[in-house]
Amino acid sequence: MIRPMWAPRSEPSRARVLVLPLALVLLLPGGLAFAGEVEMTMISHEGEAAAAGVFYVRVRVANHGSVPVRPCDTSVDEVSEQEPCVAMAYRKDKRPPRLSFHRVEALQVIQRPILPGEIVETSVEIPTSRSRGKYLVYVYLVTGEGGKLLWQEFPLNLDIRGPAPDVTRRILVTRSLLALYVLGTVGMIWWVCRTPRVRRTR
Amino acid sequence: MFTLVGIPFALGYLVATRVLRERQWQLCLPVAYALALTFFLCSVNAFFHFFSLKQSVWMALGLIALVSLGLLRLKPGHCSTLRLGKFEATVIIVLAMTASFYALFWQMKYSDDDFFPHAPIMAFFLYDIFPPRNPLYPEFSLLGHYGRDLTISALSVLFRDHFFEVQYIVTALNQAALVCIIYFVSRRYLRSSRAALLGVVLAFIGTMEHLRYGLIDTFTNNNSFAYLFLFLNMYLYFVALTRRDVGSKLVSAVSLGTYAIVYETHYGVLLIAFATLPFIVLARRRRWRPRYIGVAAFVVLASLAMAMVQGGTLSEVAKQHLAGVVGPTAVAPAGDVALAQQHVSVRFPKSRIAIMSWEGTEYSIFSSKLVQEAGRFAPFLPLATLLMFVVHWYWGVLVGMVGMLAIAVPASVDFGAFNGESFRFMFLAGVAASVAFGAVVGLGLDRLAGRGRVPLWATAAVAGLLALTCSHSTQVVLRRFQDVAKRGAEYFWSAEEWACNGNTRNLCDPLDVKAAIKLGSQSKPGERLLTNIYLEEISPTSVVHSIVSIFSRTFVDGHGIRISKDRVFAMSKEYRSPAGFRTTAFWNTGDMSILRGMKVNYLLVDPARVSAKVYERLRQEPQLELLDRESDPRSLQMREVYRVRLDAQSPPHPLPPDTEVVGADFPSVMRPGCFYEVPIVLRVGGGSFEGQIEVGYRIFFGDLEMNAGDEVRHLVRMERIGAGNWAGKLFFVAPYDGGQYAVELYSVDAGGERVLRGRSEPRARYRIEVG
Repeated sequence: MIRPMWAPRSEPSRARVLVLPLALVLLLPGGLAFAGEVEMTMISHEGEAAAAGVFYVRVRVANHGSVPVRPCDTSVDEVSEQEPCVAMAYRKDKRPPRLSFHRVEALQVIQRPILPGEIVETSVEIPTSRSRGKYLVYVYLVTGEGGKLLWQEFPLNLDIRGPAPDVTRRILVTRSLLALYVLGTVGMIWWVCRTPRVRRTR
Repeated sequence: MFTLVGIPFALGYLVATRVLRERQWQLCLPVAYALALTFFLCSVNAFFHFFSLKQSVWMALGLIALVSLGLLRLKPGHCSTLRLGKFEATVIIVLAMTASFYALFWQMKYSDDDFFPHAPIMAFFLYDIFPPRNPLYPEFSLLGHYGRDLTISALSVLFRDHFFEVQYIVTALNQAALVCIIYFVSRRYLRSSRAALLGVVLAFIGTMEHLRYGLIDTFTNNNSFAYLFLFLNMYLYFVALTRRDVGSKLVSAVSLGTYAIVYETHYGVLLIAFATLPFIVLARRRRWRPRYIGVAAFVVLASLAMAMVQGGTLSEVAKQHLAGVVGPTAVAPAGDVALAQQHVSVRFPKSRIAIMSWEGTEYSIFSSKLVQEAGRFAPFLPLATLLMFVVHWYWGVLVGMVGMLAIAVPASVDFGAFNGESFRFMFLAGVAASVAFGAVVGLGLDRLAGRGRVPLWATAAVAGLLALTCSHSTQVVLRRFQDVAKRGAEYFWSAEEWACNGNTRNLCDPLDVKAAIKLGSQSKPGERLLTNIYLEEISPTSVVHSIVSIFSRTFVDGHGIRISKDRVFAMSKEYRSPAGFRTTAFWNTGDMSILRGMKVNYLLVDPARVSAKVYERLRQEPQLELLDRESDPRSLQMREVYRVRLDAQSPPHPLPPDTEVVGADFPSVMRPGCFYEVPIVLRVGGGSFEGQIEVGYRIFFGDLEMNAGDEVRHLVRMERIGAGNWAGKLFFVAPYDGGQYAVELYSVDAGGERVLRGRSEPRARYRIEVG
């Protein structure tokens, strides 16, 4: 189920261009290492998922510094000089015009500060689209250090299957109720209109 | 078993047709429905003080069936049909169906606006926890309006305890019934279809554009019950005034009394309006009719007598002031705690005639802010009411009076910490103003039309008014239906499926629900659980914790109360914190001594949210028994449930009397709400000291204690660092808000609490800064 990110099924040309150097970096000893104190690596991601569901991206966060790494405040594109932070983001189908939390869907990677020397592995879930097909999702690993945000881009190819049975059932129930609303309203109006009008009482 | 739900509805129908002698079936049906809910609530509430909920429901159904059989002996009234014009019938059908299905779909997506506290309260009623307790602060009773929650819980007994689904259906039906009651009652007493139609349309979709649009989106929480019963009671009161029988007065009094546990604020407004109306009628007619005053006095006094004994806020007040019984809210608590306890203090008149806005600022009743909070028609209330008075439309006078009182009450009565909740009154004023304004416009159209048609310019003006006032809300409603058609997967019928899915998916994980359901099969209702699954904000946290509470049958404990430093309490200002001081300290240390004062029975742990060291400590802790572990290989999520079995431990020996705190090394600036291990050094003189001390601390801002009721106390194992000097670490959690504070340390031993001495000072007191 979980497919390594360097083994995509059929990448579009632009994605392939981007994935190749990133894959090379990943294959280097120590994974996607940075000179900084916080290191975030994408380990793998799922290649296919159900529609109107989620797919998972597995990441590793390591704190090589001396202060705890916190979740980034994704309401602003700023980061403290003293406290490193991590976040994730994604955008479906289209690359954002510029890298900013306001242009993408932000995700939390960690739920608590990562202490110095600690390495945490976690799966981050990303919602899938409502209809089946092949999709390109741009996933961003964001690390904040020294007052700057560093964005790593991963264009992921995703094969979306049909929705899960429980989702199909939910859609059916909801649409049935909607039909009841429309038909009920129209039916009552029709019944009122066809009833012969006698005299309006005051 | 669900077929038994027909019994209360049979009673409602019999009362409507044989006691109230209601003939028009279009009004009879919604009135019967609303009466059924009222009588069912009234009887279940009476029995629930003495029996379990299930027993109460059966007894209530038995009683209702008996009364219904008795009513069958009364002569039935003749049923007739009120002929409606095609246009008005179409508008009413579309409005009723849309209001109903809009409410249904909205609830299927979001369940409820204040999911906390209503959903856990309903669940706890099913576990026989009554009177209700605050689900986030189980030590506090929630005395206020529980009528809606009790009705839904009691009805769900007939539907295998599926209270979410019952809530969705009942709320949707309430909305449709409300449209019908407002329209058909207005039409009868205003004798104008145009006035009634405009009134109901404006009340539903044209009232305001601040926080709400109108009754169309005011169905969540208690609101659908509050407004359905409001208009039902106004109708019943009119019937009681006009009919010469005893039954209609009794029905009106019982219904009004029951309303006291549904919505006290609106009940209070109705009491004043009902008591005043006969005098206004007599003044206008210039004929002395003591019967009107007698009826009003009976309905008001009988309902008040009922409200004083049936439970809820008024009964508590009566207990304290009349019977001298000291209840849980006898002593007025600090404002923040009062909010958690729903303790309302009442003082009349206010020192300044002003209303506190949703944001916490005060404004005059002549301010433009009133238009924002009470809606665009509020300024027309006095004029509209006067017009109704002039043309003898007493229904309009009553509606207008209710609206004006809804403004006058929060402006002149001081409700203490609840002054900030005045938006409840303001919205009522807005709805009443819409009905009254619609009635005035309808009256104008009637006059213009005479016996013919309404002039074209007047029709165009009304259409323009409706376009101006109703376009936004109509768009919102249309967008909702569009969303339903497009995103059907996001609308859940089953609560188990909805919980931690759909719009709550980013707040919690389905594993939380799975673990909670498993715990629910082992826990006893009302036990307490502590969890480290909380978010930065309290609102989403309260939703998550409510979900866990509902399925685990436990109270999720450990939340904090943010003591307001400026003593301003407003609807928009949050007084709760997702994690209290003790909770934060515990999840940062895993120290079991912190749990001693918390009465916690279970822990629900997300290992990813605690440090590896603390997780290991919890796993090894002999006082914790692992009950369940849930994991998901896809998401790598894991949840563990532990039972807490605290050892009986004797408190440490008293410290030698000349012990003093030599130093406490607080960080120069601390982050709000963060945890710190603060090194402390004690100098212990003569006497025996085994190196173990239980330490606690109080944090003060001026005279205000910021951690009252949530003081961290824990065992500190001290190490000797020199002659008479011992060093250890204090688990300190900084206050929630920035500022300068004083911290006072004390020790706890067999003799109780003892303030620790500082170096050559009687109290070990330190200044700290939180930034």
